[in-house]
Amino acid sequence: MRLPLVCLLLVGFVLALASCTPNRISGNTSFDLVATSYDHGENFASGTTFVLPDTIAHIADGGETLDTQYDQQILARIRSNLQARGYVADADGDPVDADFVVLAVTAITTVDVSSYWGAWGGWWGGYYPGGSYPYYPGYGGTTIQFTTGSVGWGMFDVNRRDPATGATPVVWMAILNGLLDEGNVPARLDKSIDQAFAQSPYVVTSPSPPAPRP
Amino acid sequence: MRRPGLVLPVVGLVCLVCLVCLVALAPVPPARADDTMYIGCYQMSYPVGMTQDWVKNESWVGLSIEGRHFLEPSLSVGGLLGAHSLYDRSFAVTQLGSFDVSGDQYRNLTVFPILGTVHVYVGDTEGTRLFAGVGAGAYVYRQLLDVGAYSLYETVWHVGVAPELGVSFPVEWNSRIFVQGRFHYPFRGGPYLDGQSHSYPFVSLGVGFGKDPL
Repeated sequence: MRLPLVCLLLVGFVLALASCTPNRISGNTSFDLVATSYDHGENFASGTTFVLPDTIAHIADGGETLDTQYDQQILARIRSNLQARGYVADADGDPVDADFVVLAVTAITTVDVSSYWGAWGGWWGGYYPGGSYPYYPGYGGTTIQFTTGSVGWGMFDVNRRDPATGATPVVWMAILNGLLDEGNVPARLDKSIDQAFAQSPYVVTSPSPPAPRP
Repeated sequence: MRRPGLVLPVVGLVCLVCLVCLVALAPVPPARADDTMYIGCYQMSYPVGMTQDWVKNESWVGLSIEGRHFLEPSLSVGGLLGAHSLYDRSFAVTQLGSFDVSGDQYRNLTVFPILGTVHVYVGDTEGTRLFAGVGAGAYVYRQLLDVGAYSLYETVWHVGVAPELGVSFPVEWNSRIFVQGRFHYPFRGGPYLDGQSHSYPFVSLGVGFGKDPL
């Protein structure tokens, strides 16, 4: 029996309509990422005290000025997470007396995201304040550049300082990156800092599971 | 990004050349032009095994074109070109080199099989026919990760095999509709974005049309 070809073509058409890719971009938080790395030979339980200076280093391209209004929030969140993992802030803040020193930095970078369009089907209805120019739906090949902000910190093991060179190894580092925006930056910062610790369970003073962050 | 090694592509090409030579040297009567069937298929894909570590969703994006040259009514040899796009959205922590990265991720595997094929058939040439076959050759895998404001990709060549089962029905215009399932198994290759070698197998289900030469 020969099947009616029209019916088969209709089935194929329905399947073709179903061929769609997921829409990933759902807001600024879609662009937030957290990256962490650590020295696999480090014993994070080898010490309990840390020093976290109350200033953050800032890195920006020429002419750009970094907003410092979130610095204390960032430092407080890092500090509270470290304390939740069993570390104790050194009383006098002297790096020489502490086991670990944690240094934080913020930076601004410009990102070209033209490669997104192929992957995401070429539609983006949003406009992000950090962008150089918005995307116009319907015009293929649009390249967009926008500005991202990064927060990073490194954890240095003072006890492993090389006396000959004076170099102190970084045993853990975290980088947070996301779009600069006027919106919910404080909440995004807290969430990303917490995530950096959550995906770094080895940063703890004891082998037992880390206590919940206060 | 790292460049794919030359060994696997060369081996894949050698396999293809061998299959082509087998076809060319086969002791059969001179072929008529209508001994060759061309088939276009819409392909759905399902990740299996290690592939599910990267993408878990079934894919509705894929196609293949295939040529089958009939040496006799129950035996054909040919070649296949395909494209399958498997994708997923994930928030899991991903290893990229020495970094653990988290965030809203779009993960994609775009696979291009380049295979020589052999098929055997049962059933009347004028009616419904069952067939089994196997393909062998090269697979080109392009692994893409969009996370944060960044897009990373890696292209890896594999040698692989693809056993297949299917059925074809006669339809109008002296054509046939094909329904077939194929298990794509690329042998381990790399490095992928995480710096490791992997084998990402998947199953494809295809529906397509071919002009009946018999």
